[in-house]
Order: sequence, then C-alpha cells, then structure tokens
Amino acid sequence: MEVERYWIFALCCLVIVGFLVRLLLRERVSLQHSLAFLLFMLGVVVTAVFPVVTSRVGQLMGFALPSNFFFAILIGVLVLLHLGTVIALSRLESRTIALTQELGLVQEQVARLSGVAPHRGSASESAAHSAPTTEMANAVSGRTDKPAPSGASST
Amino acid sequence: MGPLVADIRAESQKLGIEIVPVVIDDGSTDRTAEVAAAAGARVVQLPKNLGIGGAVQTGLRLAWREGFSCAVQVDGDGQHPPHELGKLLALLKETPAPDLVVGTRYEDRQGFQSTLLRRIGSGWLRWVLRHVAGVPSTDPTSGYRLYGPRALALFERTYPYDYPEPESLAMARAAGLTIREVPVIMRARMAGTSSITSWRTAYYMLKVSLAVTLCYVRSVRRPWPKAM
Repeated sequence: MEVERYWIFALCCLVIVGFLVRLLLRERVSLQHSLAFLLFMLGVVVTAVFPVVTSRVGQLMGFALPSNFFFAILIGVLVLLHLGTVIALSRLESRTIALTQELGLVQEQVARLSGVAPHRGSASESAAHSAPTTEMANAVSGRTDKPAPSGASST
Repeated sequence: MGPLVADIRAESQKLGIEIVPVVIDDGSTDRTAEVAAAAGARVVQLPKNLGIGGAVQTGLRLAWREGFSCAVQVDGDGQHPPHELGKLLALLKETPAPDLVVGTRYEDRQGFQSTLLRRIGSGWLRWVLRHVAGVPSTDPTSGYRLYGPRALALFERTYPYDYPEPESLAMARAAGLTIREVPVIMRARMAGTSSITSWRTAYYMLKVSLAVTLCYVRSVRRPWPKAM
C-alpha cells in the first residue's frame, strides 16, 4: 500500500516531465535552460520510487521525519533554480532594452538619411499591454569644441 | 506635442544656441511621431515599449553618440515649459559647471502634491536621498533635467528602467557627479496622465529606497561605474 502511494507521486512528476519534453520537442523551451529543471524532476521521481534512500539519508542528517528532509531539499533546489531564472531574466531584459534602443536609433538615422517621415506604427505593431508614454529628450548642441562624429546631424 | 516642439525651436532662436529637438516615441498609438516630425523634431520610434527609463536613456544615448555638449530632458506632456530652459543652461556657465541640473518646482506645490499619501511618499523619498545617498534634493522626481557630458557618459552606460528619476540622482552622486537644482515654473500637464498611480506607490517607494541604498553600497565598495 505504502509503495503504491509513492508511485502516484512519481507518476505526477513523470507527467510534468512528459509535458516538458513535449515543449522541448516543439521548441517552445530550450534544452539549455530546462536541463536543470528536467534533471531535478527526474531526481524527484527516483526518490519517490525508492523512498528508502530518502529516509536513510534524512536520518543520517538528523531529520526526524523523512518528509521533512524531502521538503527541505525540494525547497532548496527550487530556490536555486528560481535564482538562476531571475539572473537570466535580468540579463535578458537589459539586453532587450539595449537592442530596442539601438534599433530605434538606427531606424531614425536610416529614415533621416533616406528622407522618410515617420508615421504612426511605422516602427512597430505597438505594444498593447502598456500605456504609451512619450518622453522627450532635447539634445542641446551648443558651440562646442567637441566634434560631432560622422552621421551626426548639424541641423 | 506639436506646440512643445515649436516652443523649443523658438527658445533655441531666442537663446541663440543650436537646439536639436528629439522626441522619443515609446510605442504610442496616436499620431505623436507624425506631429512631432511635422513640427521639426527628430523622432526616434522605439519598436517595443520600454517604459520611461529605457526611453529617456535612448535620448541620452543619441546625445552622447552624436557628441552633443549637453542634453535636456523634457516630459512629452508639456509640463516642462521650454522657456525655462535658459535657467538650466545658465548654470553650465558657472565654474565648475555642474554635471546634472534639475529643474525643481517652486515651493508652491498645490496642483501637484494632491493626496496625503503622495505627500508622505515624496517626503520619505527626499529623506532617503538626503541621508542615504547624500543628495539634498527638493524635488527628486522632477523630469526636467540637463545632462552635462559626464552625466551623459554615465547614463549612456547605465540608467534605471522604472521610476528612474530619484534613483538616477543617487547614481550620479555615487559616480562623483555634481548635481545642482534650479527652481522653474512648471505647468499642469497639458495631456496624458502620471505614470505613478496610487496603488503602485508602495512598490515605487520600496523599489526606489532599495535602489538608492544599493547605489550607496556600490559607491562605497568599488569605483563606479562597472559595466554590466
């Protein structure tokens, strides 16, 4: 009876793994970023199938209940996984912002050089999720000894 | 937007200096870009909405790259009248010239500081900036700003993304830039709504306070800035 209950848990994990594999096959997630999660889930399956290992190691480490040991490990690993995600997300965000700015600046230069006036939605299929903000930065070019690099407009 | 660009161009003539109006269109769905371009501004349209920090930094990047001697940031909703520009520019003639000039509202804050919550919030913000970051600012959220070359060099590299104004002051201070304030008359916004709504105030306060503290810690620990 005991064994059977653990196996249901293992089955749940396998279903999630199956879902993840399906996402991988459809290239919705990359193996590089899901590998750690995949291995973690498989590890959980192993502990569910062989609960003896968990309780033995838990006892050795001074946990009164095997479940406490299991949960502690689970939470620890999940926190680390999430931390990794947060780091990756932050890096991605700063890259995306830099690239978007670059694209906007280059498009402006191209438009100016080719004499095309900007119009609504010319740059994008506009972000519908957030309220549009228009900020205005006003570059003041005084009489300066700093030479403008090539491509700069003097008008 | 049209009148604003026209005002800036008029001010350019009056002051006798060359001003290039640049409009950063952060994914607006109305005819902002068209109108601004028709009025004679250079328009940078961001392909995806970046929010205020990313938009402002775009303008600063442009100014830095093209070697402008300084840049002035003005809100697109018309609350920063261009005819006050001279007051900001005047400080640049002083020696040593400040790296960052902030146009602050006059003490009369009736139209702007409406709710009690907002008053407490801005009081807290000023306290944190003064005592943690060492910036005695009277109006840290003001977006009417003049950036000198050193400020452009700093913010071109790193600029906060959301609710950037108070945090950028702390960054500038940590980088050893000099900040000056000059009182200017601001108008009630001609169009648009504030990006700070009351339900976000808690997040805003927490984020800015922490960010300011982080700036201070960074400046103590190692020379700023370090490229990300």
